Amino acid sequence: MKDATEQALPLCPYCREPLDSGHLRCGRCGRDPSAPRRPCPKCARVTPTAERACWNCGAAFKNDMRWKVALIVGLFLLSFVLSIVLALVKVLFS
Amino acid sequence: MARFKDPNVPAAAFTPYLEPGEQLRHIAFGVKQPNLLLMLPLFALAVLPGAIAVALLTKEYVIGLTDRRLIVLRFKGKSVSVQEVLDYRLDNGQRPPVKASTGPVFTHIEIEDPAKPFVAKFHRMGMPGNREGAMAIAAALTGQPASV
Repeated sequence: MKDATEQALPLCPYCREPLDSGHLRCGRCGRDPSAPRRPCPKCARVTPTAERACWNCGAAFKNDMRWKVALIVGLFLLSFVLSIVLALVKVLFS
Repeated sequence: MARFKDPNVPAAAFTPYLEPGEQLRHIAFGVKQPNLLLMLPLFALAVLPGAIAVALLTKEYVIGLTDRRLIVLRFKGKSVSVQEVLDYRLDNGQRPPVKASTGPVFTHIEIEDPAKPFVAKFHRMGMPGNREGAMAIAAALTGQPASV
């Protein structure tokens, strides 16, 4: 059973080991507890954001920006094509 | 239109990230939109695709102030699917460098931590109690009393 002092210490988000104050890395797993992290969509364990795959299960993290940029470019191209088509229709049938 | 009608929904998203005995005191919903230099050309090219592009590039955050730290969750969707977690400890006597201001509509919070910077604005109607939550969090981060 942990004592009150140990309960008040912050916990490492990766291994849940109490962190000693002033230490920049976890004494048990050696990871930086203050780094931005993200939960794995498969196992829900957290991994630093800079990593491309989950440290626990190896699942690769998807990059949302790729499909978002492709969608945005596609929408703009579609709007331009529609504008040209509408202009041509107006010219042809006017 | 509020992003969340029930503040318990975003509050529940913090549960897996709280330490034993840690109490969540205030939460707020905010967004970080793309740079204005990017938004204006997008809208100038085409209004509807520009609006869709801005919506896709906007990041949504829920921040929570506990008795020990500030937790920032970047999420997407109504189900608050967490994409990234940031936390800033407040119980070690050192506050992170923060700029905060409150206007008639938005509360702006900017954390100038070189390792994990954070910027977002919090609309007063983002969810019930959003203005109060954002102002309370800003006051706790800056050490100054909340005021408009």
